[in-house]
Amino acid sequence: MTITTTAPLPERLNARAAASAPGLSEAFVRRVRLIEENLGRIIKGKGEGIAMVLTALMAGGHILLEDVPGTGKTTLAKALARSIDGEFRRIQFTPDLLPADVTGTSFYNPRDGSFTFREGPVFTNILLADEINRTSPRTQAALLEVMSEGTVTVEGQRRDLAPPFLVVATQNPSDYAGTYPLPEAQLDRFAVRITLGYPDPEHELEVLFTHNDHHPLNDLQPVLTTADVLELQAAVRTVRVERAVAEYILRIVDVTRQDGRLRLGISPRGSLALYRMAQARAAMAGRDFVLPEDVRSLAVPVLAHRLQLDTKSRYGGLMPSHIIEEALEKTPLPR
Amino acid sequence: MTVPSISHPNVAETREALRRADSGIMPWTVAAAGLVALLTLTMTAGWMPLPPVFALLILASYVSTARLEGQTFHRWWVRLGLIVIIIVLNQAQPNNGDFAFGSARARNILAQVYAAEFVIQCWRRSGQPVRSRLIAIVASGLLMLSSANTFDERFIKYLAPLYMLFLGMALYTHRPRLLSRMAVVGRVVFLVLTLGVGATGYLFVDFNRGRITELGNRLLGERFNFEATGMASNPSLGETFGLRGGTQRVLRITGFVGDPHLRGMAFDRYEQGRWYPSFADRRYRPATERELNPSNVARATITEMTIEKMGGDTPLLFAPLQTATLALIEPAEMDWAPESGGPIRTRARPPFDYRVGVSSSETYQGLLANPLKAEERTRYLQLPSRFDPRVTELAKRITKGAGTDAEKVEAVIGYLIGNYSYSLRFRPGRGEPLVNFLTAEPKRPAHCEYFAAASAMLLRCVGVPTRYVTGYFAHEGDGPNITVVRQRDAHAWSEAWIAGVGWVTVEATPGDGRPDADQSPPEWWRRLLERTQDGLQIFAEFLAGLSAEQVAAIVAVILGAGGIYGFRLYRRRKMALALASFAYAPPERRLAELIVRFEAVFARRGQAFPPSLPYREHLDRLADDAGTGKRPATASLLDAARRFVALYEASRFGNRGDEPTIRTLQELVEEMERTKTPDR
Repeated sequence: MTITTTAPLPERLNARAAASAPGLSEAFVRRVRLIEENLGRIIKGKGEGIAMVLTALMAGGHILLEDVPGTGKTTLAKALARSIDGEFRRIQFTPDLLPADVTGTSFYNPRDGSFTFREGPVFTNILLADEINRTSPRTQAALLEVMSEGTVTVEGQRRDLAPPFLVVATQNPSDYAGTYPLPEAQLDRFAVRITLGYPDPEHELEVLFTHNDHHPLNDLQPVLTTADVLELQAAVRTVRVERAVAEYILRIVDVTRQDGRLRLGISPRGSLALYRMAQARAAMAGRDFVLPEDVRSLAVPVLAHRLQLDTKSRYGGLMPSHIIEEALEKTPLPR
Repeated sequence: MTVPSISHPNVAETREALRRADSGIMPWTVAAAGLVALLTLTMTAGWMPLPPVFALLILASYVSTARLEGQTFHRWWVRLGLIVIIIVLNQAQPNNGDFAFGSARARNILAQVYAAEFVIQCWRRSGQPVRSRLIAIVASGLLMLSSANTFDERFIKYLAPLYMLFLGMALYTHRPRLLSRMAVVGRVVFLVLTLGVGATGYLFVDFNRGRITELGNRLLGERFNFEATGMASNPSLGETFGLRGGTQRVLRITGFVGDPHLRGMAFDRYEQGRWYPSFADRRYRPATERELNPSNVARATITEMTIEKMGGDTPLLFAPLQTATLALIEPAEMDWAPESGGPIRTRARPPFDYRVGVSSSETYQGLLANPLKAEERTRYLQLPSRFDPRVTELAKRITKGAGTDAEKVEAVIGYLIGNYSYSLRFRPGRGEPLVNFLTAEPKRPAHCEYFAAASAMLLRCVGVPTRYVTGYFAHEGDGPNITVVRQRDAHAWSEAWIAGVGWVTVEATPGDGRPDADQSPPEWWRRLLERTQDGLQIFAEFLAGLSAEQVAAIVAVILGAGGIYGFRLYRRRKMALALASFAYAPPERRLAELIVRFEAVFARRGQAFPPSLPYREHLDRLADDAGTGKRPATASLLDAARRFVALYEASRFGNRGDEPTIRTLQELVEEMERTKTPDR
């Protein structure tokens, strides 16, 4: 079931909302619509998933796309990269990849006898980490620093990345052969986990026809600059979060920390991500304040992948998303 | 643009059920079950003012739209008020009505409290109608169970299946999905099963009345006075015997000897189904130690046993007819009425011990067997006025050929035991109960009171002086050398004066004369309970032996340990609760007032907002309902509500609560409050 967040506000109020929130002017909403349309042209009938990707982009959070093969994970990530006029790099996470292949390393220059640092693929704006769970945890760990701090430390030297920096990782949950489950620390660094799912027949038919002569991805033009993205992210941070709403976030998080079926509850990083994502969601709906229902509808995609069930519950068929949904049912909304 | 929302199947299902049940009136099946239970109460307990009022209130809840709001405390006041009214109105009721097992007043009060709860649930409007309905069903069930606690089976056997039918239907409407896909055959099977379960339940209750009653009495902390347990001050020939006595232990005897008939009181005059003189109408005099412990007894033939009186509310000391000596271990005041063959009573409160010396001779005439004096002879031979001559003829016929008094006694015992069987219940019908018992054909089974009275009267008809005795029949061993007497062992028999021998026990009750025909050993849990009680008593005696300083030290240690534990528990809870239970930062005062009024509008309509669901989602759901014809929320109301929610949320979470906005919110709320609840 879906709800429309663009319920008509009274005229007077709409006008005032726009007037008092310069960061969320019409221009903001227009730019979001542009990129939304761009992505919608490539990924058909997945409005919810696209909205979630964009929310994460606005919130400056990394995205984990998790689904069975062939549902458009990589395509969506590439489309997002194309829509933004920034640097885009891709790492294919193969089992033989090494940490230095991710971060970069120093090379001996025989001409002047010095060592020169050659930047790895993480030095970019949008990094597509494809099939991230196919490499060893040792290599995955190379992403830990850059994902949380936007910096890379190699050979004792810290190198800053030019913002914005966004990791879009894909993984396939149905394969077990030759994969390594992501470590908890890594999972926690993704703001959101998105599942696309199969398209409905109508949209799948459309995909068949548009792919007939060439891939529509090639037609895609950038609609935002990296400066635009930074501006949008700055605007999101001005969205008002009333104390009661922040308390609502803490309550949901706290329920998971008290839950005996969990090995690991939600970290403060998790509550921060939920906070930022709720701001972004409100902004995308044209609001300059967060509603409790923003938090409520984001809780599963933002929080569920951070939970670690204990063995008994995991084999009992319980899913982390069930725990979050239960927490939502248990926690009264601030009124 | 759309965003994802939560829809977990179980949650969705629960909400669906909530939504369906959101109509605020009690389903008729539940109400019907409650009405049948109320009718049962009235039919079994006789007329009471409140049950008809309750019935009218239940019906009125379908006519009136007024409700006890779920979010206020009104219903608690109503509940309290009803309970007070019930207790006050039932104060005058006697405690020992002849329709109920156990205390009649307690039964009726409890039953009416259940009925009151049922009525409140009919009138209550809450956010959780499912819960309300379940409480109502449970209340009706308790009411029905209380009402079924009766000897009067005339109506129960019709009303109980009827109740079970409505109960089944009520549960069916409660979970319709359970059966919605079932074919007609399935439904018939369901109906048959329901009726079967009802019949089984009825039979179960019927067989286990004694146990259920005892459990109820335990829960109520209700104790029987000895009027109700067969130790009556003037016993009457009633419909039942022994059922009212529970398995509560009365006596515990160490080294039991002699006749198992432990006498309490004896009676000499019989009139219209009752025995006299009453316990109070006797001439008592203080019994001195010397009197009860005479020195002229041949000690060699006396064996002593120790009897611990554990409970029971009678002040009587029970002892066999062959008692030669009797002494309390801790001396207390005793008095007795030796002219009436006892009783011996004491002011000591149980538990206490007394020692009884019993002669090994069966016909020993001791403390309780005063020789018959000439003037007593007429007393022990008197027949009731207007006594049916058929009984005298019967007595003569039975004892034809018996020469001596002893032979007459044997003939009468042989006649009663040989021709009658034992039953805990006897319905005497109209007229003199004893005459009915002796003359009815075919002969109907009866309980010990009838056999005792019959043997006494038949023997008097043929000139043998007799008296009617009540007491306990001791037969239950409990470990080596210990005999336990329970309340259910209450018994009645008679004693006859045989010239040259003296007083002898006449046991004319068939089936070993045991009042509890059921000889099943006590259940394991009862044994455990009794062991615990014994342990506690030993512990109490240990405590009683301690000095004040020792007691103070023990109390200090316990309090200290409890205090430390409690403090740690408090600390831990406080830490755990610090986050989980804080209240949200509240909205500004005027906004808070408005949102309370807004929520009340929908609560009054039985469409209260679930606390963990956003307003908007709930309103969408109500809009979906509008088409189904279930208490539709009008479009204008929903529209106003949506506008209110948007404005309110902007003010509450977006800091836009300026004067004009608040005024608009106020206007919207007033508009919604004016919207009438649609007629049902």
